[in-house]
Parts: sequence; C-alpha cells; structure tokens
Amino acid sequence: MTTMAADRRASWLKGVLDLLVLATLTGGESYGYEIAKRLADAGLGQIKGGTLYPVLNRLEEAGLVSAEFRVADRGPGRRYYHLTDDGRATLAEQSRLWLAFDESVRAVLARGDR
Amino acid sequence: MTADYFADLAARLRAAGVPDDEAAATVDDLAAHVAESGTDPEDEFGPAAEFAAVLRPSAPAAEPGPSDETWRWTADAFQDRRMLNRFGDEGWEVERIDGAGRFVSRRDPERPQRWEYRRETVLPGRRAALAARLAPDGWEPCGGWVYYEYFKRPKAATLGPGAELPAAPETPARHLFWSRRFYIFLAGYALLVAVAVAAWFLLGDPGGDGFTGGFVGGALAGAVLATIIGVASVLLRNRRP
Repeated sequence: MTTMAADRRASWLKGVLDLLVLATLTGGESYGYEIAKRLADAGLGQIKGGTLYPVLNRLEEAGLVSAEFRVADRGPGRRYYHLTDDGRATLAEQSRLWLAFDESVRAVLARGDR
Repeated sequence: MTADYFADLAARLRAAGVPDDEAAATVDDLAAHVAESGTDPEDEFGPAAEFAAVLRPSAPAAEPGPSDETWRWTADAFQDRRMLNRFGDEGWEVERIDGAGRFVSRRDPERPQRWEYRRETVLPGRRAALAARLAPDGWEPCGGWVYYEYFKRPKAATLGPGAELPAAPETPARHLFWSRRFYIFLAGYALLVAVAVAAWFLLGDPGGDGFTGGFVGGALAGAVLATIIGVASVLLRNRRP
C-alpha cells in the first residue's frame, strides 16, 4: 500500500473506529486485545493499542461502554468492556447515519465511474 | 525493557492523579495486551509519556473534585505565556477561557500537578488542524482568544512523577496581570489618536467654508472616538478580571 493510500485509510478509520469498537461489543463483553483482533480479522488492519485504548477510554467516559477489571485465575488481569444501553442506542443511531453517508459516497463514486 | 516501560507508564499515570489501584489495573491490562499480541510496548502504544497523557482524561482526577480550588485571572498578550507557565508550575491547570477572557484555572490542593502551556496564532477554521498537529506531543487545547489558541500539557508527560508539587503554593491574591509594555502600548495608542485628531483640527481644511471643515472634522472625530471605544471595550471585555 502506498503511503497516501495508507493515510487515507487511516483517516477513514479515524471517523468510524468508535462505532466499530461499539459494534464488536454487541455480542457480549470483550477486552482490548480481543477487540483489536476482531477488527483485524474483519479486514480493517492492525489497530495499535496506542489508538484503541484512548478510544475505549472516551467511550467509557461518555457512558457508552462500562469497564470492569477482573483478575484472571491464570495469567494477567484484564479490563472487560461491556456495551451500555446508551452505547447500544448510539451505535444504532450512528450506524444509520454512517450507512446513509456510505450510500451517498457510493452513488457519487458510481456516477464518476461511468 | 517491557517491565521498564510499564513501570514508567504506571508512575506517569499516578503522577497525573490516577489512583494507584486504577493505574495498576490499567498497566496490567496493557501488559496482558502485549503478552497476547507479542508486540513491543513502545511499538504498540507509543512512548510512555505521550501514552500516559492520552490515557489520563478518563482518570477520575480529570474530573473537578469537590475540594479543587478555582481561580480566574488574566494577563495581556505581552506576558500571558510567561504567566501561564509560572502559574502552571504552581499547579494551576487552565480549563477554559471564559466569556470575559479570563483563564479559568483549577488546582487539586492535595496533589497539585505542574502544567506547561503554549500559545499559537491561528487562522479562522484552522483550530482543529492545529490541535491535531500538536496532539501527538500531548498538547491539549484549553481555550482561545481572538486569533490565539492556548494549549496545555501536564508536566507529567515529560517529567514523570517529578511533576507533582510537594505542596500547593498560595493562590495569588491578584487576578489581573498587565505588563508595563501593555500600559505603554495603551498610552502610545491613545497618544497617536490624540495627535491625529489635533493635526486634523490644526492643519485640516484651511481654505474651507467652515461648515465643511467642521462637519468633516466632527465626523472624523466621531469615527476616531468610535474606534477607541471599540478597541477599549474589546480589551476591557476580554481582559478584565
């Protein structure tokens, strides 16, 4: 990938990363590394912890996720994130807006393609 | 190397006012992340100083505590940066600039932290881009005045635990810090206007019919007066305690 393409991708991701993080929690609680891994597996590339954890912090501050630190029986403790009702409502609303935006972008790009 | 990174990060979080158990949990969680991903912590999270600065906002200490002191003050543009850094070193964190142009500052009297500040000149519409450019270095916007944008950064970001003050110095009794240069500037400006008005009356329109001279002179004097009132009201509105 060229630097320019990577930069562009990074800015796309920046606009939607909080929604993606919320979306990974719809199936139940999860922790930082697992969230990053799910996003990577979905083809969104490796999201560094330096980017992910500040987003998780902001979501927690906004009350969209709740966090609980649990010490594991084996291995180190982890902070588990859980989608709150507010988070669920925000995700639904913002996803609609994103999809509408995506549709407009597609329509314009498709016209430009012809 | 990994242990050093996390020890440093924990110390910086604590220095930024994050409670000990909260800092320990955060560091454990992040250590689990690198253990699982097999990455180097600095690669994964960036330098500890910067990462601690971006993690800090969620810390309870970032919320104004009931015991926090608040102090509103202002300084002219000739010395605002010097005063900001002086009071930042005394533990004052500027939260915003209020409608009257004062720096609204607060300080935790129990665990005062040192702050540093910078001021940037910004064109309309460029604030977000400027903030984005400075954010990787840990600078956070804390208010704007006309075309100046002010940024703050906890000294914990560069000094680590050493940024905590052993005790909070007394809250300054003053609220207004105008420098001699500012008074000279105001006096110079008033003098310039006075000279311009006097010159018009003494030299302007010598062959006129009296009415034109008087009318134009009056109009000009009115315009000058309006300018003075305008400039003064902006200065006073924005810069008075």
